[in-house]
Amino acid sequence: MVFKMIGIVKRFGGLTALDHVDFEVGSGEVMALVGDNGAGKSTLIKTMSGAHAPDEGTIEMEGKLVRFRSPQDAWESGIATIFQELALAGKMTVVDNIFLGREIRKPVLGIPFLDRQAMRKRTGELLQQLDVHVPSIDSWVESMSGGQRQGVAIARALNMDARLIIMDEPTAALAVAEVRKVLEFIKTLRTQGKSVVLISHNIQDVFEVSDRISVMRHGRCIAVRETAKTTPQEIIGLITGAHEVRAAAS
Amino acid sequence: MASVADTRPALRFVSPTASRELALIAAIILVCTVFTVASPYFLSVNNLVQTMRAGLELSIVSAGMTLVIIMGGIDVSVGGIVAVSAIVIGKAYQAGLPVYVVTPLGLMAGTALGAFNGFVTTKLKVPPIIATLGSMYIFSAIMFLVIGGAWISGLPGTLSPLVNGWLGFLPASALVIAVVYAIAWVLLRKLPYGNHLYAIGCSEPSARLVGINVDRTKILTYAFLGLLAGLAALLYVARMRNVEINIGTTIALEAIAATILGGTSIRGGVGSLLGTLLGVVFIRIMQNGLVLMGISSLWETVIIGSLLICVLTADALRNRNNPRAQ
Amino acid sequence: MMSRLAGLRAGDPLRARLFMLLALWLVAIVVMSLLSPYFLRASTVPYLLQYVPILGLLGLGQTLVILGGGPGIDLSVGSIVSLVGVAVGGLFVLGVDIWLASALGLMLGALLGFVNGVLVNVLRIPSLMATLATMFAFGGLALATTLGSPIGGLPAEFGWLGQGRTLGLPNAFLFVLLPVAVILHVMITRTTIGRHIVACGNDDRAAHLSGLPVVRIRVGLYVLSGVLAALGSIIAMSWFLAARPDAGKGMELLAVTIAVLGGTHIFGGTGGVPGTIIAILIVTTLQIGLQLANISAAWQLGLIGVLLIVSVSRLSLWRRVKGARA
Repeated sequence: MVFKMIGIVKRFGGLTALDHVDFEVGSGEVMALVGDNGAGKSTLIKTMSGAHAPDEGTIEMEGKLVRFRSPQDAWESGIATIFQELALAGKMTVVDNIFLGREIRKPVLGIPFLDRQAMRKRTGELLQQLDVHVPSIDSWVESMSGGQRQGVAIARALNMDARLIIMDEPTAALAVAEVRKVLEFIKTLRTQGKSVVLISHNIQDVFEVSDRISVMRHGRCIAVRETAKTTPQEIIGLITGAHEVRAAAS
Repeated sequence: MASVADTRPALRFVSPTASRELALIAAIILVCTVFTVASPYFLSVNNLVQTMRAGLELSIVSAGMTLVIIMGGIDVSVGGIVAVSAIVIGKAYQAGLPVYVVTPLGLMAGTALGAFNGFVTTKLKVPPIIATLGSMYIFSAIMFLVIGGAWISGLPGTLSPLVNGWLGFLPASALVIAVVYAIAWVLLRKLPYGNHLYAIGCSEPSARLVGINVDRTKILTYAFLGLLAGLAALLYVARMRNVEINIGTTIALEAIAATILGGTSIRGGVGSLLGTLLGVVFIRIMQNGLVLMGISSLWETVIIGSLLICVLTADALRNRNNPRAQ
Repeated sequence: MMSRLAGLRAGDPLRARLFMLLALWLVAIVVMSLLSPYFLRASTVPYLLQYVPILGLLGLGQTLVILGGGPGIDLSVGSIVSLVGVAVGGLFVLGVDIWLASALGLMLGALLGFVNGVLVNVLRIPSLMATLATMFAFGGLALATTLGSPIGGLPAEFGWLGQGRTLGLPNAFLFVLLPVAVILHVMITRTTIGRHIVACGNDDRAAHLSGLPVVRIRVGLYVLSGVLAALGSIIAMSWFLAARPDAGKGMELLAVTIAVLGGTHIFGGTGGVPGTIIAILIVTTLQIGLQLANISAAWQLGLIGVLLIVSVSRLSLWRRVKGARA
């Protein structure tokens, strides 16, 4: 197991957002995380990515206990997160955004100057790898389409050479062709031996790319299924709690 | 769409604030023309150099203010920082301390006060406008308590060559301004720190999510503004040879005005040091020209205010069509 | 009783804040009476209440503007006070009856407020910048047109408002501030328009989608702020029987301080009249108390600064305390 969360509890005031959640991702595996709105998916990945600190429970990365006190810690442990809101700085260029927080430096007399040349070159490589087309790598991110901005966010995650990549609703706002690109990219990541956690509402996408599916409901992880051995109906039933209704009715 | 492999800097890429900088240059030329026609004294070397010296403190402080505003913050207490730093400097001189002790003392005083502002706005989570409003009161109170209505006078002008001197045919104050702006420019454009400033100004939550240490960056920036305020205090004392209570009353607002006139957006995320410098030049030339023309300098505030309104309106109208996320 | 306490803990923040403010006022009174034997006398009350109306009106106006969200702030109120004063004084000098001139002054206040409202809400210029610019423009206009000298010679009977007393209490307090405060409080808490204002401050997107005319409401708040400032200006003129072109200098900061101290959240949606009133009483008590004890006004300034910072930072500490208990 590359990544393991055991007994995670997270409370906000009187609300228990995560109630003793166990979650794990294997090496080179695509794990889908599904659940209805308010089930706790976003909170779980924010905890995974270091934006929240859990109130209880442990996190292990490649067998070692880790504690993330900030998103920076998570990045440094090899977890790259692509948030639903993308977390891009609109009035900054593609290059600047991809390297935000991990700029390539060229120290002169101990002062860490920006190495713009190296960053531009790497940006070109990344965009080519992802087959993302932008008007210019110097254009502002806010002037680009949803798919291009998604591409920039993915490029940023790719740039980090991470072990685990978390993607929160990556295809939600994209056109059909762009969705295809994202799904192909996820498969590519798997062939490279990286692990992916994918949150998605789109059961079709989930069944196309994932190896296993974790279902969350009311702050708990109620089921983990192997994608090949389950059906969309079963997953949807778990998400909506149909089985609970059935159990109560019988 | 250009090919993805095109990594040469796009030739068409022009700085977003370029149009404002050009407009300011045009405005300065226009205003200079008017003043040259109206008064024979305007276009003399002596007058121009004097004007620049009068703008020394304002330009230094405005550089720091630009960084703060780009980051999405603001600091209305700068006048207070200048005042308290000046008092520290004055008292130190009075105690007989030599200039090479007083100078770092003054700079440290300014930096500490600036860091205080940064601390209040990050760790105590007070919005910058409230935080610096409060600290302005506190700094003013300190100033009144220490000096009362009296002046500290008869101070040594050891540093005055930096203000009044010449290096060849270049006035020393111009060099001081150039050095300060060069340093600010390097901070803003050549270091990761600068990118972080822009990112925080664009969207603070996003900056946090990508792992930028927002709190530390903010404190550093406010502290830097404080440092520059301390420098301004040093030069002021060198020039005036005294410390009195009216020091720094309007410098914060003028610095903000210069920064906004120069193309920096009050929302943060966009800014220009060159624009700020041009804004300072414009403000000081206006002041100078009005005095030479015999028009009461009281009209200057009206003019700056109206200009700001025009500039802000123009910006707002231009951005009408962009759906701007708050 | 227990349920009331439970209600406090369950977080009616405004209620809790009112209790805290009242406690603070009590502390202030106790401290002030310890500092000076003159404080705890019957004659102090009307003396204190003399100072309250002008700042009170400005504070109430600011409360409304901030309450409506945006975030809204009006830094130009001090300048509106000055400019309206100058205009009324000028009209009087031209022969217009002083009371008629005052009525026209109120309309001018509304107009200036309208300008602010349009700049902030129609052109969507950030309120901080827009009202900073109008502060420059209006204030500068007041100073420039009078060349800095006050307009005196207002008729003695005009002093009824600012100087006169009825039943031992100042007229301005009884007949202006009290009714205005009551009307505004009723408006905010009991009328639909009040609910709408709070809704705009809480979430303007939601308010807009619910069909509320957010822009119109906010512009109205700025107009109201302008009118209240004009009212304050008239009281000030009535008190001094002169129109000073810098009458409002520094008042905007005090107004914001009072509104924020009184519990109005800087981003809107929370706040109200009672908190503001108690905040004014606290500030005025400190002012008068320190004056009577012959303590330098600087302490008062510093104290207000500290109060401002503490009162706003308290919010986040308070929340953290509540969260730990839950």
